[in-house]
Amino acid sequence: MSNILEIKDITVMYGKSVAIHDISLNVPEGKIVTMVGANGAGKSTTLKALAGIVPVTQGSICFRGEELVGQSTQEIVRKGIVLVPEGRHLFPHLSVYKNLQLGATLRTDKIGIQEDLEYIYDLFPKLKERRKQKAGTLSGGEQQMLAIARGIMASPKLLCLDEPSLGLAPVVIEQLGQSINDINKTRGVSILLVEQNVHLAFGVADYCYAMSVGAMVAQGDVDCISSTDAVRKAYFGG
Amino acid sequence: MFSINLMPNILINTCVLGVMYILTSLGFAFIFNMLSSINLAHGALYMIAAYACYYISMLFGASNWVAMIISAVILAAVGLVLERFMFRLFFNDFDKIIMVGVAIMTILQTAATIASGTKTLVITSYATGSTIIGKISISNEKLLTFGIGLVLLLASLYLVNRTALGRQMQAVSQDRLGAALQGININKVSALICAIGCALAAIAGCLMGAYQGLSSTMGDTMNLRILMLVMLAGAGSMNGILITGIVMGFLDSLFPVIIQGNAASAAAIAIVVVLLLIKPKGFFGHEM
Ligand SMILES: Nc1ncnc2c1ncn2[C@@H]1O[C@H](COP(=O)(O)OP(=O)(O)OP(=O)(O)O)[C@@H](O)[C@H]1O
Ligand SMILES: [Mg+2]
Repeated sequence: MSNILEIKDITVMYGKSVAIHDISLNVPEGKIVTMVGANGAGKSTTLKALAGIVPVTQGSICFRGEELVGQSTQEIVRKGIVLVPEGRHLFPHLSVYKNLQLGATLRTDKIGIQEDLEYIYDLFPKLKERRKQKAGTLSGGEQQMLAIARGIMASPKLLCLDEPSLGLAPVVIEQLGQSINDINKTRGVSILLVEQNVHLAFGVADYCYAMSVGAMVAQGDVDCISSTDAVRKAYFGG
Repeated sequence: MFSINLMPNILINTCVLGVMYILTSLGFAFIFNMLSSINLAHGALYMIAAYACYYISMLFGASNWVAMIISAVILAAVGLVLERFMFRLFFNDFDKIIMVGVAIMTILQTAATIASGTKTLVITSYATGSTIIGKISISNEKLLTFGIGLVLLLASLYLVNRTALGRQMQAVSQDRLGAALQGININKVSALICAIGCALAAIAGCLMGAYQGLSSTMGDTMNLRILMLVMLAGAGSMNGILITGIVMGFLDSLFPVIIQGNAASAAAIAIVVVLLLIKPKGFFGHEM
């Protein structure tokens, strides 16, 4: 199977301090890959580097055969990588609908946009109900749905989700897992999921990476990795 | 002294001044929201556009309509330059933005003073005569100023609320990282909006230069109005500016009639200060 994304030995610095070093990671086409790790491990930094938000000092990021290091976020989005960031970063004073429209900023295929909108309203009926409401007045769960939905509106080939479960009730996290699966299975979108909630992460993922203090410390199929030391220590209290 | 017969005139002046204030303030507000920058030179840009209009029409014999358009295009270009070399360069550096703003203001004002010397300049009227509506006679100059202002205002509202560029501008104002992640080219959107904002101020300057005459301090007067309008409206409010603009226009039309001399302007400012004391964050919510 071919990889849609191959990250090779990337290093990111914030000023003089190294945030992540020699991180390598692959996402196979059409799969869900998860990245777990304690606070400050460098998960968000890895995703930001991928999205062109922070500069990569070393290494390469190869997406469908093209090098991404040095490209602008706009070019990266256009190529099909979309990041749903930690903290959502919605446009709080704009309606749900306008937030979704903005997700499709770089698209010109009106019919495709309309189809995706219908898919989203189908996946998250709450968003359809509340399409005229300002994003900032949605509940936390609805805001997360909107953040993901806005990401889908860009018609990504690879969707990166940074801690989508943060602050959500268990039952909502359950639904979130189903939605992620749906996006992956029915739309064929490859997914890179960063999560603290290992139950969600291991529930949906095909493959898993574990990070600790800026380095990749373990990887493997979900069944094997949950029993490795690094992950046990980080999440299951040893 | 105030008499009820003056009321129609006061209301007409309110409309003219209000629309001009709003038009000039829009660019300032766009820049404020999107680039978190206070453009202290905005009033000076408005002033220099009026001078540009006057000199283009005088030196090249162009009609003042043509001169107005050329002046607006020049100021749009100035907007592009300011975005590139001021707002982008000093993004998030409050002190530098203020200093550069004051420097530009001083340079433009000095230039205008040198150019005009002690003469009082007036852009020749865009329209002459007057129109009688009901029992009131309104000068065509005022009608035209109001009409053009209103059209541009509606166009601006359309731009912000209905077009992709306007939506992207709001996105950048509300969440820069979020905007970047949608693939929005923040620099490009900022540059375009800056250009449009400066061009709007330019047109207001060209119109007011005929209505009230030119002076190198007309920018200061306008700057004060801009700051008051935007503060009263509250950060991020466009609808608010529409209303505070009319209120400000009304105060500036009413007070000169009932109060003598400079006290009129002081009274208007005093009222605004009181209003700001009541509601320091402005009267309207975020919607831009
Ligand atoms: N803008 C920044 N400037 C300086 N240091 C930063 C910056 N952003 C992150 N860091 C540092 O880089 C390291 C990795 O941070 P990162 O946000 O990638 O961690 P994370 O794995 O996503 O953690 P969490 O699970 O808490 O979100 C941390 O030590 C953090 O303090
Ligand atoms: Mg993080």
